[in-house]
Amino acid sequence: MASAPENEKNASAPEKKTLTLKSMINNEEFVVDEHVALQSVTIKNMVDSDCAGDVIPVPTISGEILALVIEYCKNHANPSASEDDLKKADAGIVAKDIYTLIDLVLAANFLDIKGLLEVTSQKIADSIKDLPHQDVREIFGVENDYTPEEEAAVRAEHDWAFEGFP
Amino acid sequence: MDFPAITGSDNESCDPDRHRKRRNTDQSPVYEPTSVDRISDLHDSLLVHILSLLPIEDAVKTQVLSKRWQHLFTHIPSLVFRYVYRDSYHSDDEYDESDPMRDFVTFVEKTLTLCNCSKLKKLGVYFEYDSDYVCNVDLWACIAAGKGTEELHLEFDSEEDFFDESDRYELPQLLYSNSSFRELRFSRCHVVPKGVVAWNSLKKLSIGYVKLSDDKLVLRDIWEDIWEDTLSDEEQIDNSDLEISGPNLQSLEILGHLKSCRVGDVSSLVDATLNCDLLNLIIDDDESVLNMLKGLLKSLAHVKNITLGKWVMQVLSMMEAQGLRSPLLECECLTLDTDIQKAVLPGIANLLESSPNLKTLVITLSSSGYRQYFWPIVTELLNYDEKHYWTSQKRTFKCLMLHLTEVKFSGVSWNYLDLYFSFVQFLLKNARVLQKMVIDAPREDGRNPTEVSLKLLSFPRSSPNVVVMCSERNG
Repeated sequence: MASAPENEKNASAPEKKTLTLKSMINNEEFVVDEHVALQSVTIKNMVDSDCAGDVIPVPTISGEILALVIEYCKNHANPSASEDDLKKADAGIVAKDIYTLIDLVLAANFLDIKGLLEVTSQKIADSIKDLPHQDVREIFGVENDYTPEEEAAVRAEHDWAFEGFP
Repeated sequence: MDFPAITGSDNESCDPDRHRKRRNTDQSPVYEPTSVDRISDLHDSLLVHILSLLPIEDAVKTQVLSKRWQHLFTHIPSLVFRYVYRDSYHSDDEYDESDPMRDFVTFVEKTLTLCNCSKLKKLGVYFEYDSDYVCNVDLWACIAAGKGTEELHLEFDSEEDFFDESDRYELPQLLYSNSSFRELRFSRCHVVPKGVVAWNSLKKLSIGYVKLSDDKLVLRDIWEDIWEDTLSDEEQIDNSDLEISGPNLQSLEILGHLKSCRVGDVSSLVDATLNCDLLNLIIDDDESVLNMLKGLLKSLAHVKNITLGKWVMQVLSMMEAQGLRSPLLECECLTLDTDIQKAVLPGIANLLESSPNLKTLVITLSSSGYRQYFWPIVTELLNYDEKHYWTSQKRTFKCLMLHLTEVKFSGVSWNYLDLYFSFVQFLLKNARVLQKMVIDAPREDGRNPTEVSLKLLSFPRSSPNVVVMCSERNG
């Protein structure tokens, strides 16, 4: 069992303490150094309050996504990584299709990893910026519940924004 | 950035089974993302966060997606409006009466009035202001102040006529009393506070392309651990420094704690006050501090009226101890906002030597001067006998020989009375053309004021015409 006061010592001690994260979607397990996993505030809270067993189950996050999250945490737990290195590594992690990005933003939100949430949200924003509305609706699973008249009224309300927009 | 609303209550729970149960009962255990799944999982706060990373016009457009999305954009806490010139407005129809700027202003106004955030993180508006829009911009400023905005940028640059003085936006007075601002950037705005400026949380200030010819810009009572302030007439050079440059600036006061400070082109400056502190000044790295002050004084070389605070005087003392002269000053009226104390005597001598045209010398202690303190390390480093400092002076000071006609002491502190006496004695003995000396000392119980006056009046004088006036303030 891990407890809060030991965390720091263990992080620098020669034999590193590890945690096992298990995706509850497909039961994939990941063994990670504790200081890497603790970048997630959610996991940190669990460990601090002794709620974490030897294996920490991670609900709603697939193994594929969890692997990406852990990759991010590893990069950012490396004290010798320069800002440039981290930027490049982040760009690599978010170079994914929009659906993976949405899963990733949900994972970052659930695990409470601020930096990952930021880069993923930004990437999503960049990806949907120039898409036609119908595509954005599909991505987010939005059903257009406006009547044509209502939609026209909404558009007319903000003509400046919609100027030259299909 | 902080987005407390985004991480929902899920994180507080340490019952990870909760989610599994939901998953397992609701759908197959194999992960198959479906659009319904996504939309229910993406909280509004998460969507708003993503929207806030889009250009505002794109964010506003998302309201056509569905009724749920219609109001999402009104929760975006950070609003930046940038006018972009659009070719599409150039239609061949000569009767086209569309006015893109007017549309932009309407758009800003609608979006702002729809804003549902009780607190705005940032409001930025960038467009070519003209006076037709004064009421609109007043309203935006009012909304920004009302919503406790932390960052306000009003940048009204125009493509041409950078220095055209007409059509400047004058900031409404209510902005000056708002203490929630942490960062302010104004460009082509008139910044003319009529009362107290209470930007108590301000970390960064940038005022660009502003004419301050007849106006006095004083920023006081901004006491932060680190006050990063940028005031520039051109492009901002370094965010972490105070960079002041304004060829039309006539009066300048730099007060408070600074990280670093440089002054550029201030060729019209008449009055300058340096009553500032530099954090971590002397202990670590005195070389750079001495150089910075030298740089500052050099840029003020042409200024007629200069006021210097305790900290500057102590650094000047350090320079004197190392045999370094202050840059030559054309200053005619010098005000020293300090007590006469061991840590500043060599600094005074240094200044007298580098101000050959000095006509008036004022020693006072203002309320902002009170807030600065003497660094023990300076007194330690200056290893000399302060009681005989002035009598042991061998130098001749040009200003004392030729120009110094008036000396005024006000707010004399009794704590250092002997040092005041010896300085007064020195001045009376050496100031050849002195006409008037006014000593305004507080009356205190247990002292015989007449005795003090008599002593001051008894000092020998080298100027035949000098009038010495002692007045003892009550209280």
